[in-house]
Amino acid sequence: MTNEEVEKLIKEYEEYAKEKGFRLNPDRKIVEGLVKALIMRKESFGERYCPCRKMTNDKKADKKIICPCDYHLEEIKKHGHCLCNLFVEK
Amino acid sequence: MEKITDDNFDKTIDSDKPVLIDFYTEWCPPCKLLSPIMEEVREELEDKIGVFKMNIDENPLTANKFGIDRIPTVILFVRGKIKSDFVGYREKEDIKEWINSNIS
Repeated sequence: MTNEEVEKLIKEYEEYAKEKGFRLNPDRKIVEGLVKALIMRKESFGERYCPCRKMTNDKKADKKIICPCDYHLEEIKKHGHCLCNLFVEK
Repeated sequence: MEKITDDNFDKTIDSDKPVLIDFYTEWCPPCKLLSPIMEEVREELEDKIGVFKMNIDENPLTANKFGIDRIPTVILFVRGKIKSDFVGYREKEDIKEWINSNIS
């Protein structure tokens, strides 16, 4: 994993968050840790599966936990952040 | 903090003292943030409760038994039964308050 890959993915998620009306966690260390874990999961399992959720090894079920996952919008609305704290409300 | 396994889980929670278990994986950054906090909780409340951790990738039987699909998940067991739980990162004082409200 290179620094360029990490920076590229952080930028991608920053743009996604902006588009959706929330933002990335202002704690850069948390964001870097999560993005590195997501890249590692992509390298190991083929997709950016959320590192805060257990994989079932059923590809159809696990599709729901590819970041940004099926649950993040509701979690941000309800708790002010997604489960992993990658995305937070403005 | 002592790591427990599927093999010694039942024996661990079957205790006179309440037992707190931090379910985690190596992949999970919030788990890494929570772990040192749980260690401090263990040190500060060692007279009242036992605090342990379990890697759910290495111990799938227990994780499946309790339906743990999000991590970190922390479960408080009292006399071998679930008393309360929470999911995700929390600050130390919040965790201590949560423990005290559930064991007093």
